[in-house]
Amino acid sequence: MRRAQDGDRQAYESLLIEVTAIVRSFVRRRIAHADQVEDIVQETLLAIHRGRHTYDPKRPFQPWMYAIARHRLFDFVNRQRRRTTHEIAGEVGWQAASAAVAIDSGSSLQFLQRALALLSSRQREIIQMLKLDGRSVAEIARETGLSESSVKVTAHRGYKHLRKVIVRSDDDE
Amino acid sequence: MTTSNALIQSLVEDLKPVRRLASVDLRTVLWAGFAVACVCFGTYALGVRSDLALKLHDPSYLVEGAALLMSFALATRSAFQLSVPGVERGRLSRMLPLAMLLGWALLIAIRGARGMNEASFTPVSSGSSCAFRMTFLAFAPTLWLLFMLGQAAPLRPGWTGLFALVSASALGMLGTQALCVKDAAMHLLYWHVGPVLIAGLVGLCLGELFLSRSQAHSRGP
Repeated sequence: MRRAQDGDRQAYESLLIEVTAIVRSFVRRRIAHADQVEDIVQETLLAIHRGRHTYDPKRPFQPWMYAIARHRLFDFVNRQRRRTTHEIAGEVGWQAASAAVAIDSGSSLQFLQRALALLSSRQREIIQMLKLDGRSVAEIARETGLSESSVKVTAHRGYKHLRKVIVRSDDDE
Repeated sequence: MTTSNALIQSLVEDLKPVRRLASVDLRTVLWAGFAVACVCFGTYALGVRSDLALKLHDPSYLVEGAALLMSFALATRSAFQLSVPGVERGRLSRMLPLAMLLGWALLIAIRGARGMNEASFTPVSSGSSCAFRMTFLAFAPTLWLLFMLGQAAPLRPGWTGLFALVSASALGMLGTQALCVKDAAMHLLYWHVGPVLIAGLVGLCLGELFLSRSQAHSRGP
């Protein structure tokens, strides 16, 4: 790493190859999914690259490297946990709305259309693409130019709104 | 998706020599020296309390000051340690500066409780000038500290920001203690301890906002 800090590309390349193998086996022991392991390995490599000036050659290299890898792993796990919670909340919202509509199947389509009409145009568009056209979040993000998380947040807000509309209509009846 | 090998190639191509970050000890001493000089100068410029010489013989004033000084020292150390991967200590040592801060507040509260009949718990109002003085004294050290921490690679930006602001504000408050003539416990708890705690919370947010972004930039030679 000392040579890499001085700009030696060959030394840096062999170091990164070695680090990749160590970090991969470190992450594999904690994460089963191969794609996710590679994501964390790559995030760690990037963090090592960005923080290489903080390595002190007087200290051992491994604690420095493992500290970065451990934090990238924790960050990744936390992000995944938040995302999963968000997606589950969204799904529950949609299922509650669909279930309520399905009770009266004769007029359900009309009712759903009326309920969708009460949403903002962006929420309506995204929910229609997600749930009626069956498209993925990634596809919608590409098409609308929004980020994937924005698509999920917009859909989630739409579900909440739909649920309110349905509960209100049940109360009215 | 970029494969790890392709990423390695692009990182190697991007490699430029970097200036190594100075050691944690050196950076801590450098900043602390600058901060103490700033606060001493600021305190002198604002005019110290007229009975300071007398207060320097008051044990409770000295003990409370020492607790605040320790909070400053421990928070400074923690902020710099957290900004460099592999140097940070365990969770327990991370709690030390906060425990010391709590100790300082307890010392004030105990002194106040002992003198319940005196005016120790009365004058809560009109103490905002202490918060302003602290902010004034700690302003330049805070900016430089955040800059120095941003030059490193804090893995816990929130905690790093929290300790940075606790450190700078504790020192600023130490200067304020030499300016403020109000010794009532309630005044100290509201207008001396309170602002330091609020500064810590502000630091937590600033750290999450700015120190995490600063990690994206490495330095040239």
